[in-house]
Amino acid sequence: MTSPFEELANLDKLVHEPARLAILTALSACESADFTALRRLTGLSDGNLSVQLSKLEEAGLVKVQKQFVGKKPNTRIQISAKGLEAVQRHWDRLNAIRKNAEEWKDSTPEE
Amino acid sequence: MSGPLLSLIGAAILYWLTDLYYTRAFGQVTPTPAQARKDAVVSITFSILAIWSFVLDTAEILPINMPGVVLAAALAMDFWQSTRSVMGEAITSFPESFFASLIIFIVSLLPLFGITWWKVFGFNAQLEAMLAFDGLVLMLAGIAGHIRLTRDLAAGEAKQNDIAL
Repeated sequence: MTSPFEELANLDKLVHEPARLAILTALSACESADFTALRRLTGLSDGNLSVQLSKLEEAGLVKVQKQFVGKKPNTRIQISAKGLEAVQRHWDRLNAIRKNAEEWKDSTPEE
Repeated sequence: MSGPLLSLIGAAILYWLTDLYYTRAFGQVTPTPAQARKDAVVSITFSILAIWSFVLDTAEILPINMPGVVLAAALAMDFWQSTRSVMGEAITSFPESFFASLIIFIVSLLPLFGITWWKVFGFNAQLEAMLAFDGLVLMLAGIAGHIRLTRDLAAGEAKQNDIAL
């Protein structure tokens, strides 16, 4: 069995980064969200959110659609099937690592 | 134009402006089809129950306020739906729905114990007083919910803004 530390080191860094994990987790709970809603939910600045969304879009984990609502530009973001699978798999792995870490802690002899 | 019609138009304009404010300030989230279906079922069910309770309350002399009980149940349902993911700290996370539901439920049951509270406030009909009370509680719960939402989001913003690119 691999140690929880090795498993942590092997996590998918694209998904595990806190800002991106927050974005993917928020998007996995809805059909789509606009830029303002994501910024409010994640607490990220405009610039940081834009950068993280670009990275997620490049990786095919989210779809970004720019449109006009009336005269105002509106950016809607939707998680892709690949993104949904990636974030669910990531949370499953984190849960497994947590369980593994607890078992590792219990099996470590106290000094 | 009559008073009730003016109130209705005023309420509709206020609702539209509030919706516009929340969309601009907090953005928009589209629910999944499954969530949208569930919301529609809950809304339709409670709308039917609200009409039924109103008709029942005006047709019969009841020892309790039925529209109030239905509204309390709807708020309790809203509380349960909002807090399923944080059951350990549900009341501290969404206190306004919980307390609004509890207060309306208790006041709806007061006539059962012979407490005619509406007469103290100059109302002749219990239903009329209860509707005014419901409106007041919902308004206060709405204000409390707005304050909680803006505080929670502001705290999240302060905490998360230092995340490195």
